[in-house]
Amino acid sequence: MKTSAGILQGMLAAMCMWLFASCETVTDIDLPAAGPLIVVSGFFTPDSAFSISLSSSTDYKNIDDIRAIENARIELLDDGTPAGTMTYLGNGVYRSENKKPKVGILYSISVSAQGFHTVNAEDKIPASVPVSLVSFDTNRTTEKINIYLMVHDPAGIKNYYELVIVGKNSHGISSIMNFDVNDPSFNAEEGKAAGFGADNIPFADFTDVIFDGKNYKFRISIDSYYKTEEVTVYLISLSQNLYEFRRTYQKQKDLGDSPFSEPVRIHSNVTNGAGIFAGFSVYKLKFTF
Amino acid sequence: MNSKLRVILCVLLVFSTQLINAQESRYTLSGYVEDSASGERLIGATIYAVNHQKGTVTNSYGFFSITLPPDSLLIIISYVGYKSRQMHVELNEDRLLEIHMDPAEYQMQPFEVSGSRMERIEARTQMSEINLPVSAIQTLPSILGETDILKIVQLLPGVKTGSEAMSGFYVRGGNPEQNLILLDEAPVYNVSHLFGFFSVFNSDAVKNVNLIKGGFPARYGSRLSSVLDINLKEGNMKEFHGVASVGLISSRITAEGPLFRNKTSYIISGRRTYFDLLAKPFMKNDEYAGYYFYDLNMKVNHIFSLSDRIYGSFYLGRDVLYVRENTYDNFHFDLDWGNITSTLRWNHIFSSKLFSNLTSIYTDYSFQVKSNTDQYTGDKYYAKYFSGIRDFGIKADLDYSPSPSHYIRFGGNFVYHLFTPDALQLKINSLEQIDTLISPSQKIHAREYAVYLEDDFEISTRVKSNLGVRASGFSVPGKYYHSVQPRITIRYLFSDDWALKGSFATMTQYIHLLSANRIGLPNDLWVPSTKRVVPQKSLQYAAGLSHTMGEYDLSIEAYYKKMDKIIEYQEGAAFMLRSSSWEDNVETGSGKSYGVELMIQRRTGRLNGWIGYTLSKTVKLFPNLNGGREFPAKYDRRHDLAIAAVYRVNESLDLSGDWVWGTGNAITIPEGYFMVNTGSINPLSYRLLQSDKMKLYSSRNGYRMDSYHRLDVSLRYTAGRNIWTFSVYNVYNRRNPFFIYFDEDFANNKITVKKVSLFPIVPSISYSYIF
Repeated sequence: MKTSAGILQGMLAAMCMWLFASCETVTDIDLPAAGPLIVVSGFFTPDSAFSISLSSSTDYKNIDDIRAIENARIELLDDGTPAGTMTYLGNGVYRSENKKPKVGILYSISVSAQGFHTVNAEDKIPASVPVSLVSFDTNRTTEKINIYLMVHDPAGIKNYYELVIVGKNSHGISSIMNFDVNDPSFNAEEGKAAGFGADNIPFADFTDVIFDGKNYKFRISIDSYYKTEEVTVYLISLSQNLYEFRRTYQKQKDLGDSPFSEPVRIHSNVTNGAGIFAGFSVYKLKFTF
Repeated sequence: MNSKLRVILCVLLVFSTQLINAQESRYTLSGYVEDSASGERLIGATIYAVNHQKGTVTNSYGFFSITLPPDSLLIIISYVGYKSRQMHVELNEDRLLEIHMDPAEYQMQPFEVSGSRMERIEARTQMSEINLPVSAIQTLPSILGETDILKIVQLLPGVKTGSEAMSGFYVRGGNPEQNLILLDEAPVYNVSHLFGFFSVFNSDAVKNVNLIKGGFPARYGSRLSSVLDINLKEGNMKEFHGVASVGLISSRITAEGPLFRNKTSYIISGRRTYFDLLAKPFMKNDEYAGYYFYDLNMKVNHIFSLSDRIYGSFYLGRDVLYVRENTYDNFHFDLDWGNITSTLRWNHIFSSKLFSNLTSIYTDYSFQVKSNTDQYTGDKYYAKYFSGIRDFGIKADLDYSPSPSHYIRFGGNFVYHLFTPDALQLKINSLEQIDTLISPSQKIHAREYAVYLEDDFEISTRVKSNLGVRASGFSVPGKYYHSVQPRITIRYLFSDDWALKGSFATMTQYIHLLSANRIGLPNDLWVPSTKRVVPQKSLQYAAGLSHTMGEYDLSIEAYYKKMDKIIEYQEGAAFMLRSSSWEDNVETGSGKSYGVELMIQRRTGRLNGWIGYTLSKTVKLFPNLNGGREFPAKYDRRHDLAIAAVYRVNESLDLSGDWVWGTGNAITIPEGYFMVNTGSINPLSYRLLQSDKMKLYSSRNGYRMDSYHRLDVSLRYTAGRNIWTFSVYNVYNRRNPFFIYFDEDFANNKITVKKVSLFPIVPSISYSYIF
């Protein structure tokens, strides 16, 4: 459906361009160049090491000048208490081997590097949320395997999720499986990756806006020709920052330079900079058919 | 006690006290003022009783009423573009008159009537109001020779155009949907032809244009920012006349005359573009495309007696864009949009003091895109997207003038709205037979009510006020909203030709427009207030000075307007890209606008026109946009200057020109690029967030395009019944920015910024024949 709307919209844009093409003139212009910013890519999950990648943004005139930032100083804080500086590993990657993140703790970083403004960011890891298998069946007409799952959503807090299905074949090779989902919860908020008529998608981002605090049952479908020995459902609990970052990233990518909408700025929780420093946790559910 | 209720009770108390006083021995002089040649009734003509230094003006139907003590009156009647008249009237009983005015000669001199002050800017209570001379509309230059009312409105202070040559206008920081645009009292929801380059109003059929930007009288409501009241001509009551015009892009014809002399008249006016007809010979027979628009205005009125008259008005307009590829896939594409409006009005004079108008209104705006194609496999696809709004309304307006100190208006209206915010229909005739109406939002039925009361109250010879209150309600399924909106305007005449004016007005708007905000296409969606999306509200304070300097009117006004509960699309949301209800895709926020407007206008003489300058700032604040920080409105423009002039060289030749200059539009552009890179910290995320170069945007509307300026000139030559008009749009070929885009060539690591300009210098010619 989205495709049909897109076709109509594309044609509308093409018609307008055609109509005005005879009038318009196009000239190159020079815009003021913005100074580079520190771009943070840092994702943390319980009991893993803190790892942060730093790069610089660039203006449009020097597009090949996106570089890893070396020799920066990254201070880590654990609920406001200094927790050491991160070690540079090369290629813009910094790591803190000693500190293992935990759920619910507010972690902050302060990054300083020569030639840049100091940037700060903070986030927490949300608790993982269990998902259980209810049943599965096969639809002979569509040749799809329907998998019925139940999310046990905690009450009183807004939860942000990503669903990923990994299948392991008879050779022991794991791969991400595309799936269909038509559940209303995946349409309940604008910006989810699984949109209207979401078929054959590798992941689905959604929130608990319509099932907060409930045991919520939903169905996904995968093609039955996958010779899957074992299926692992990953229900990833995202922090709000991470959810917004992914949502806006995907949206900017989808829209391109569409003249039919306002530009989408990719969400960032990095003050004076760009990128994201965010936590997530994972609940794994394994089963076989 | 509720404070609003107190205000209303005070107003009513003042009314009743004054009405009792009005019962002294007085008589009422009332009637109509009309053009002697055509019988066309004149709106805003001044009737001034010299002996009593009291006066009044005609209303929208050319009716006036003034109550005075018995006397032998010297009455002066004046109207711009007409010779002033003096009459002696023995007012020893109620009198009902028909006053005929003769058009002025071309050497028209400024008003010679020293006794009449009513037409002077400082004499009027109303502020923030501009009456647009129809002669200027027809004479000032416009693009491709197509005279356009809204293009002229955009030259007024406080009014800003959107993008290059667009018809939509922004008044004191308000969006276009906050303008109540009335065509013979019917609201027009989309005023654009040709994607906004022309307005739907055919200037040949228009009699009067009045714009109110603030200090709104209580009789107007349902929009936050302005009222543009357009009245069509009534049709010549005396004899048949017409005009036929041929231009570069369109032709139009207008005919008017009596059906029964001095009793019934009609006017009919139509126009159509012919891009499509001219281009067709250059296209293949089986592959062609075209665009055209047309509109038709019709009006009939009948005079039953001096006390009763009915008017029927009808407008139909449509834009159509089509593509036909009758080849292997039989591809058809159609885009069309348009309005239908009609009103039926009955004027009735109950007494010399009480005039009434009863109106029934129908208005319909719709927009649709259709596409169908046949695949070589035999599959057929059909998709249709449509959106619209339809209103049925009835309203009653009464004018009551109990004494020279009061002119009371009261009335009410009811509107039944039918919204179809959007719907997508899809038919696929293939292996999977699909015929479905995918409608994220169903039809919404809503009802809107309003009652109002206002009094133009002359408190003393120097102080005059318009006090009013409007109460309105709106019901949609599951929700009822209501609002009480006090309105106050006060004028203090502190010398013979200087007046200080101030106003306060609150407004409530129950309908919204979802606009993609970047270009002026007709895909904007009209939606109602609902349980989740509440009505928009505004309050506006304005203060100003008005002064007449000989032949010039001077006005300086400062205003502050606050808007609340305004809506915008979420970032990235747009029509047809939504997967859920429109309510899920909007953000609610607030806005404020403040500024100073200066206008110097000369309305008479060989050289007339105006200079308008606006210094203003408009910002918006949405919790979920721009990181919750305030940002400039898209059409926030710090400086805006417009000069418009018409010079009548002689009876045959008119020269005119306009020059505009304004601060560049605010837009959101990428400030740079950055790499979205998650590295390999999580294999599940790796394929989602790959290493992509993504745009790093400035804050919303954080960049200013180049300033906009342009000069247009026009020459109009009249020889008998023939009129030739030569116009040049953008005389010095200024490449004004229309939009900016980034041309990305990542393969060669090269990005260039492109500025797209629309219209270079555009000369045009048109010819009209008057019959």
